Formats: sequence, structure tokens, C-alpha cells
Amino acid sequence: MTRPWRSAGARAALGTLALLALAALVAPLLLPDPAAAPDPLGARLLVPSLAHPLGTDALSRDVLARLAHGTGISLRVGLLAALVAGALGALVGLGAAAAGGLADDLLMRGTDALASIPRAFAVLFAVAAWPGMPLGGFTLLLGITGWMAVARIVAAEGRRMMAGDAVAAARALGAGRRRIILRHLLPNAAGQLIVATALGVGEAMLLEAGLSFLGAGVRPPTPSLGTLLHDGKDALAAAPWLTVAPGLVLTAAVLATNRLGDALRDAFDPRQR
Amino acid sequence: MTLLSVEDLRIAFPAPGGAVHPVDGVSFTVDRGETLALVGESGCGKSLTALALLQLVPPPGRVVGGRVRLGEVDVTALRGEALRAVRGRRIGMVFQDPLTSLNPVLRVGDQVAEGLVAHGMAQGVAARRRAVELLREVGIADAEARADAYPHQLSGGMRQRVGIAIALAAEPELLVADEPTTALDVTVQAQILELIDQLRQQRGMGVLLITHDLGIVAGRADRVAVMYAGQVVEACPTAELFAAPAHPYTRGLLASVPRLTGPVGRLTPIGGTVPPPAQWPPACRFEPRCPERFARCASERPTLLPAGDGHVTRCWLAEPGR
Repeated sequence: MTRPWRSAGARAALGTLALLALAALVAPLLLPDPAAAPDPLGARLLVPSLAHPLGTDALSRDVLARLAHGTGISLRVGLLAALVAGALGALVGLGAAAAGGLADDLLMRGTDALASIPRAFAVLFAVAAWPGMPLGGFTLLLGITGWMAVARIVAAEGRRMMAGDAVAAARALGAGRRRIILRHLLPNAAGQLIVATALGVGEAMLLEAGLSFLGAGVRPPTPSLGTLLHDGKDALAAAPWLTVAPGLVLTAAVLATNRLGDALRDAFDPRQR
Repeated sequence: MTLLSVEDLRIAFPAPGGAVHPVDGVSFTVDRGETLALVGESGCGKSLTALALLQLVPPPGRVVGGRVRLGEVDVTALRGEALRAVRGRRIGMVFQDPLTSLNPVLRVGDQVAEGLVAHGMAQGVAARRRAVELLREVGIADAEARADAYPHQLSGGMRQRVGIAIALAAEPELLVADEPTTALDVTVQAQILELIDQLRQQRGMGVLLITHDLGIVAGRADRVAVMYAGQVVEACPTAELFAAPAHPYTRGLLASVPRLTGPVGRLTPIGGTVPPPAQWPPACRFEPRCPERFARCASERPTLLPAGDGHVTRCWLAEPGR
């Protein structure tokens, strides 16, 4: 479990994410309330200073506080959505592979059909149909629109295993379908599942940011990286720090989760040891 | 006492222009404590026959005729839990290539324990302890530590020992070994065969040894069944096979194997190749390649004819009065 972390890239990724998560956790203790605007009109669009390290926004709120808080929310949305997608994808993909034959075909063609619907469109549609959608609902929605790619990858690996001697040997030992899925298909597909899920974190964070930017994701006044970008766009020329800071954080977080997926796969795959 | 009895087994695969039968009426028996070698070239149906014993014929193939009887149980009729209870528990199977038949991401100790757990014979710490015992029993030194290794960390011979330990975990009455040494170095082959033989004696198991290698047969098997094109063409005690082979195909096989004793002579290969199942001749299947064929061979399908004590051959040459 140690070798993958010797790579500088993996350590940088882990460090970046740890830093972002830590910032999101301790920010509420050290920084002002992100919603607080002591002087709603008098402190608008302040340049970064000691009192406000990243300045203030159009409603006189401290941008650093909002960024820290928003990073936490975006990370949480991305992570939970990816975990939901990973779990659903594993369930469908491994189920299809283990069942084989017609059931496999039906499940995977259904997956293809769902994957053909643009994800952003599906989420926008659902948000429009449910105007007061809470954050949890939005997160879940990102998850259940994002499992198809995972299912395909996992099903391919599962099918490869099913055709191999190891599963034949397990069946010859009297292993049932549940045991074959849990002991053979899942551990062998775990590496790919981890990578796909980690990629899903970045994808969900980007999608959250995009939809929130359009006003269809996380709802103001709750901050997220997307709503921060949205809030900053009207003052792009006057106060570029409003968009540059959340943009950089988003980029760093997505790059780090993608790199972390590779490191986790290496850490969990005994063949790499 | 007969342990396994395969009667007229037929396996069909769908093919354009009608189903083909790569296993077509195979019969043989294995007694308790006995080793039967099933010998033949690739494509003769010997591995499919082995898989059919546990209903593991890969789809779309399926058993369309005959029976596999284990003691009083008709294995071909079993379904669901009853079938699962036979797999591993009454019939253990050793696969050809331990590198592909072992799960690469599970520790070998856990894989040996799997058969015990699947049949409710042991769990947790007890299963682990038994797994280590089994690894020791198949001759793995430092079994306690090896149990924590992954398959890729072991040598080929060691991996096949693990494969044998897995097959033996639930103490089956019959061990089916499908080309157990083909993927191994020659020096290791003898050790693995010796191990199987020794375990057979200790446990009184029946062993079905599937191989293409007559050299393996000579030392290890009590009886031999030779397969050609989906059928058993000759069956007899091992010594008899080498002393007085009755079927021209068997004689051809023996002539194409180099001998270590006696004068050095030319090897005589069998002319032609094994045809695919769709092109098997309607009468005697070996007829087109047979150096001793005569008119009847192309027109009438030979049955298994007696050729001595416990010796049968599927050849018109053995018919009395010829």
C-alpha cells in the first residue's frame, strides 16, 4: 500500500485534496459567516486586503469565506454523486456480466440508451420539473445520471472474468452466483471501478459548476464553486478575483481527483505490488 | 467399486447447417482408488467431457444425451443447490493453467478456504487453519506464510499445487485433473503427478486424468480410455495399451511418441489432421487417416468390440472371424 504514494504526482494530488478539504472544514471556525454582509452596500467589490484576503463580492460578502465554504459543498456534491454513480454502475455492470446472455444484452442496451441522453440536459430537465430541489436531491440526480460509463467498464471486465478459468474453477468448487460476484468479479474489477469513480468525482464537480453557473444547480445563497463563478461573472472586469479564485480551485480539485484515482487503483491492486 | 460412470454422453453445439456433437456417445467408468487416463489430441472432446461431469459445458454447448452417474446420483439431472452440493464436494477439479484458473487478486489461502466455506465445512479462523494444512499437504513449504501470497508471487509448480489444494479442500471422492501439467516445466510435471498419485492413495479417491501425453499415462494410470473425434476408440488396462494396442489410432499415437528404451528408430506421424466435428465421416471416424482401412470402414459405423480381458476397441479389425 505504500509504493504508489512515492510518486510525486500522487502525493501532490493527495496534498491538494487534503488542503481543500481541510480549508472547507476549518473555514467556518476562523472566517466570518459566508452569508454575513455587515455593510451590504458599503463594502461591495473590495480589492483583496488583510481584512478580506480575496476581497468582497457584489453583496459585500467575504469571498475567502464563501470560497472555503463553497469548495466544501462542491467537493461533497462531487464525491457523493460519484459514489452513487459508482455503486449503481457496479451493480448494473456486474449484475449484467454475471447473468450473461439475454439479461446481459438487455441491461447493457438499456444502459446505452440512457447514456445517449446528454447528462446536462437530463439534469436541467429534472431541475426545471422540481423547482425547489434541495442540495441532496441535486447530488443524487448527478449520481443517477452518471453511472452508465462505470457500468460499461465494469461489465466489460466482469464479462472477461466470467469467460475465464478462474470463474469456471470457482463454479467447479460449488460457488454460487453471489459468491462469484463478490469474490471474483468485484475484486477484479475494483481497480477499474476506483478509477472510473474517481474520474466521476471530477466530472460531477464540473457539471455542478456548469449547472450552478447557469443558475440550475446549487441554489443561492448557498455557495459552491459554480455559484461563485456565477456571482463573479457580472463583475469580471472590475473584480476578476471573484472568478479567478473559484476557477483555480475547481481546476486543482478536478486534476487532483483524477490523479488520485490512478494512485488508489495502484494501491488496491495486488498485482502491482 | 464403480464411483463414476459416464454413459453414452453427448454434447451438442449449435452450428450453421445443424448442431455438431464434439462429444458423441462417450462412456467410461472410474472406480474408487483408481486412476483412469482419458487420452486424446486437442479437439477430441476430452476436456468438454470433463466439464460435463460438473455441468460446466460453456454455453451455447449443452449435454443432449447420456448420463453421468456418481454413485447413485445422476449428476446430469441435478439443478440448483443439489448441483452446487456436488461441485467441489464430491467432484474436485484441477484446471490446466493455474495462472488463469486462480483468482489473481485473492490470497491463495483464501482461495483454498473458499471450497470449505462454500460447502459450509468451515469458516473464518478454522477455514484458514484448514487451508494452511491443505497447502502443507500438497507439499508447499512454509505454508503459513505462503497462504498470504498472491498467485503471481508463486512459481508455476507452486501455483498448480495450490490448484490441487483447492480441488481437494472439500474432500471430493473424485478428482478430475484436466491436463494438470501441460502448463508446467518438465521437471515440475513429474512432481505434480507424483503428488496427485500420492493423494489418491491416501484418500482413496478416484482420479480422472485427462491428458494428450502418453508418457504421463504410462506411469500413473491404472486404465486408459483413448478418445478420437468425440468417441472413445479404445479402453483397456494401461499395460495392455502399450503391449497390445488394438486400434490403429492408438498404434499411430504410440508410433509417434519417442521411446527412451530400445533401438533408435524413426517416429511415424499419423497422416492428415483431426477433422472438425462438422466433417466427421459417417462411419468410422478414423477411416480417412487409417493405414489399415478396408471397405467396411467407410460404410458401417464400428461399435466397441472386445479385444481381450477388459479391453475394447471401436474397430472392425477386432471383429471375431476376421
